[in-house]
Amino acid sequence: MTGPAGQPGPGGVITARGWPRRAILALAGTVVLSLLCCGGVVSAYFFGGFAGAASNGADAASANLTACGQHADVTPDGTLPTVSSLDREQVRDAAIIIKVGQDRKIPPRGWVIAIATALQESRLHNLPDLGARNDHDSIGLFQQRPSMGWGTPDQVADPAYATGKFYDKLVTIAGWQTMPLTQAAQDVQRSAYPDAYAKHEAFATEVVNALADGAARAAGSVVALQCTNPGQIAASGWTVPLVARISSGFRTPSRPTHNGTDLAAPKGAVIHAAADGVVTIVACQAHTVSGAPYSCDRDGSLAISGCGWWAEIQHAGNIITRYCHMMSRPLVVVGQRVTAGQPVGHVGMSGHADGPHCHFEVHTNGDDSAAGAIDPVPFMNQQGAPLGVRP
Amino acid sequence: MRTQPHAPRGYSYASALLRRFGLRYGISLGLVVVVIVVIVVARAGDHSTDSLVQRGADGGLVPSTSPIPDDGAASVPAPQPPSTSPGSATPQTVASRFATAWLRHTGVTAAAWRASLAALSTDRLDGELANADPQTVPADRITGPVALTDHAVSFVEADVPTDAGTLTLSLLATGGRWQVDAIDWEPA
Repeated sequence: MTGPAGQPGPGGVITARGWPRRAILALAGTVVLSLLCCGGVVSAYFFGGFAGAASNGADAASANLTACGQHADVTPDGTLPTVSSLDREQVRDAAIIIKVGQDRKIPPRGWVIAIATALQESRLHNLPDLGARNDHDSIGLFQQRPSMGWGTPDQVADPAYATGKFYDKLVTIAGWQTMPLTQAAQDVQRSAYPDAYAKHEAFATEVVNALADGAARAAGSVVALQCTNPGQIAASGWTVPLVARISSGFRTPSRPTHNGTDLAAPKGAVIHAAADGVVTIVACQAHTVSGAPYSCDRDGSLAISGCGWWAEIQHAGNIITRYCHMMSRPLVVVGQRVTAGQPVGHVGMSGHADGPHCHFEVHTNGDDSAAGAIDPVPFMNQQGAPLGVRP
Repeated sequence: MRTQPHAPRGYSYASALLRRFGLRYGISLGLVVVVIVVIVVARAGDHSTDSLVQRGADGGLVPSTSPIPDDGAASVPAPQPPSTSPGSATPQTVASRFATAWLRHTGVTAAAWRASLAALSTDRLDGELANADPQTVPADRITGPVALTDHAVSFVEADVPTDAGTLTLSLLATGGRWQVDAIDWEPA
């Protein structure tokens, strides 16, 4: 090669200074070609390796919560973040609901309940009296009725006043912090559609997380915002099904069809419902290689297929959770309404398992096939109920 | 005793490479080596995951060579059709009776309205309606057929179209007897 550019500098260090154009072009060309040729492979390996590491071995990483409202000061009239599908007025109304809750020392579960309620009643718009198009004289974010003692029309048209009245009523309900969202909301609203609020729980969680530094991930019934301890229910309404080490992650390179997260725990450990819902499946699924049925009341093995004793719960917002390999028939029955944290069954190794663990799946869009499965680790992190063992 | 600062090993390899092959090919070769190293390292990480998978006796883990796909559901059963005990009303009938009573909300006291729903409701729903105000029923009439979504043998959802939106009822069966357990409302 030409000139001094190719010569190593003192001590073998190559200096960029004085390299000819051609050499730089050659270098750039080579880099581009290398990336074009192998970049996909490299990033695929990196990405796969990263995903595997995050979900497999590195429990500490997966159990790390980014934030649980430690910097949750909300200023409705200041600069507010954008929230998908909400316009600026809706975001401002949500910020007012949070701010009023903070000022009144309402724990963050209350903010989620209030926002879910306003999403149902007004889609977070401060509605005027719409006459015939409305429920009678209902006004504002929470569709409160002056004729029912909520305040004057002018008062309930003020978002801060309306929110204050909502919280005033909410805190009089015994146990509101831990009851299903829709029940708490209904006890305030007294509407003819008591279960309409539940479907907004997931989006209300997103809104609170976006506006208040992840406060929906905080312990739901504690005023001082702090991340949940294992077993506590987050403001989102979710809790960990089982405090346990993650022994295998979602669709890792070595297990691309593994549609859930494996939580390794001793036999007999209690598995809890991750959120409120209705049980849709309780069954034994175990077959030998030849397709013959196999008992779920005994340990399975890798030669046996299926979930073993398993249960599935349908939650609000078309979310489904699944729990597999229990040691005995689940503690719930099909059609039973369960609340977050309620025992569902006991860890075992029925079906396709070579050690006791709970295979935990999360599905969205009401699709309980493999196509509807999502990675439970980031999902549960968002809900403030991180899987894995915490550092 | 070292008197001169020593360059790190990698640099001497790099300079040797450059001396041997010249700048352009030297850098290309270097990059090829980097890419190979990255791939090998990534693969090695992947394999360590595999061996961890095989090792974890307490984890119920599956080696990738298993003849069976994985430890999730081998197949997901389609929801069983709703089952009704002989002589009881089908979920469709219960849903449509309930919707009719729910919509009849004017000129009626809250107590009478709730009583008309109680026989078709679970205790849970009846409790939720304890203080409900029938004036907040936002619609007046059913405008089309009831559509059922099966979730389980004892759990269905019924969508009832009305003049102002969709009324969605969750129905649960106990011993094959259907009752409405939840009321959802989506304005049009």
